[in-house]
Amino acid sequence: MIEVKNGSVQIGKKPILSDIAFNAMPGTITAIIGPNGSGKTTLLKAISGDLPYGGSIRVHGREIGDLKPWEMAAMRAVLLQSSSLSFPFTIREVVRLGLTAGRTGASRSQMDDIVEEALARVDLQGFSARFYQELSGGEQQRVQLARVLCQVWHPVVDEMPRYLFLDEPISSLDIRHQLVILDIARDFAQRGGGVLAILHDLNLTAMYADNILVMHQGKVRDFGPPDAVLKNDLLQSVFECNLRVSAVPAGNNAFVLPQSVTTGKIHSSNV
Amino acid sequence: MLQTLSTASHLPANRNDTRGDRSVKARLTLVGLAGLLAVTSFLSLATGASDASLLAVIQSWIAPLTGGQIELSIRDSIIIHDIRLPRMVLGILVGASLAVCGATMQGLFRNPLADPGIVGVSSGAALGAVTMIVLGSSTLAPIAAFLGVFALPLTAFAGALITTLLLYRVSTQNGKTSVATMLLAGIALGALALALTGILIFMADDQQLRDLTFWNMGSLAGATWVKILAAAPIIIVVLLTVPFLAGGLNAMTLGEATARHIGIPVQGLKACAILVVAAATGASVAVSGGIGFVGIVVPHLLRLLIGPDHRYLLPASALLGASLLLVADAIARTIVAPAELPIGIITALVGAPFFLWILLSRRGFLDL
Repeated sequence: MIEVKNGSVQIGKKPILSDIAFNAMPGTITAIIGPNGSGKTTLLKAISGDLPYGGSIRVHGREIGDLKPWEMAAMRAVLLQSSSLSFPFTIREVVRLGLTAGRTGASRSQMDDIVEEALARVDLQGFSARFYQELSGGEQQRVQLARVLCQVWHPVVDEMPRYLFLDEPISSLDIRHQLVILDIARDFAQRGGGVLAILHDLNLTAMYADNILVMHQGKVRDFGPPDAVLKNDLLQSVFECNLRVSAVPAGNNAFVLPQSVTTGKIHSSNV
Repeated sequence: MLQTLSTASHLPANRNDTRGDRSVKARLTLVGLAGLLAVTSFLSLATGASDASLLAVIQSWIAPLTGGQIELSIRDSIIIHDIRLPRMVLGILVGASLAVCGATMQGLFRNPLADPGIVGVSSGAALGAVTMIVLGSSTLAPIAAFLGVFALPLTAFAGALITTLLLYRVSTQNGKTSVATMLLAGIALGALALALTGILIFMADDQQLRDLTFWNMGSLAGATWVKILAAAPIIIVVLLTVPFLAGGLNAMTLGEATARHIGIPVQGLKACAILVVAAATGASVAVSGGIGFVGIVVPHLLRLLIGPDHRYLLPASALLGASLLLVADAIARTIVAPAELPIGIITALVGAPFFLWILLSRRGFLDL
């Protein structure tokens, strides 16, 4: 379990996050939503161990500030919003970098299989000999996801669940691959791992998330399951625009219909 | 889009390997390069201004093993044992060190243009060495006496270390290295080191000036077993250390944050890489002066051949760097025999156009 209590982050003297508190359970997808600049990425960085923080952030009951990079690497993998690669590696070589830490037990051919399977999962079979720099932005993002998947391939090892931290994993992808990636996240959670993902698409969030953390101005505005969190008033005040939440007839999923950037009451003629 | 195209255009064609695994090719290349080094070492012993018989010398080495004994002319023995052999050993050490330093620094800065010679680290090492040459008999005499033969390599190391630390401090912010800042800061630091070196040269006496001039151009001439004793321990320790950095440098190509996420202790890795580069650059500069471009050309050629995986790139760079420097040295001492050209001129004549070619082929890739 990931437990954040009274979490805060300041960069220089400027407070970015304050009073952050929530738990993310293994076996679930927790979506982080909120407007640009609300502190979503900073929160994910703090939980990833990239930033000094105040309060308490624990994974498996251990304070992450006390953990070494390789101990963290065995518990969680992180997909950044944008990734770069400075030398011409092949796709296979990039994905294999995910096996750098904590996989010493696996044999060479086992590692090869893990790489191939990860590539197949992100819909990139047959790409292993291509060069990273030749691929499109969306394909590169999927290669990075395959690398991240290799790192925490078994969602549960030694009865300890592993976590995936994804910062806007689907922002540069087409609709098919958005679903492919979110299906991977759901599958990972169903096999016992935990997923923490920053998402912008509220409808996909409603479809996939077990819990939603709504960030606003560096604070947690709300936290709970989609049908409790996705409400007109909350979303309109957080995102400062007009929208309407209704339900998709089949499956009873919440559905968010954007309307205009003007906040306030929706005129009946617009509805 | 331009970026993608220009990068793709100089990527090696590797289509027939359907799985994108270049490790077998890399291992074969390592074996080939070891063979090449054996050939170039032989060439280095066999060529020179005089016509000493290498064959006779080799026979004299082998003979005791089979119980026989071969009389060797004193002249041949001196030329091979005390002139060419130390020169060959020094060439191997310095060549390997220059190429490995280039590859390590490029991994650290995540850029193929980072090289101790280009970003001022060699100039910093030279400043350290010149300080010891000029002030070693006066102001720094106690230190010189205490350090003995290691005085020159260690002061050069100090100069290189200070320059590298300054360079990293200036060009890296929030874990991101700006190429433009790195190159410009390198020019400024190099110029500063050069200016300070100039002041010291101004203070030097006639004998020191002669030492300095010869040394400054970069040369393996004057290789002695004492010089090798001074530089070899440092360079050998570095060559044995860098393989342990390979995995970390590979992860670093994804950026510092991602390397940490994968489990690499990034701060420790950076500190170690900076120390190693400074130590080997200091040792090489102390014994052979400024020999440029080996650190750029060798790793770049090898990346085209076997890819950028540092587990193979670093040892391959050591082998090819050593071979290349032996060949350059053989050319330097035969092309105008019985005189000889400073080897730095040969490496610059080949390396500078090569550097321009890298710049041209990667233009879209640099944020200049």
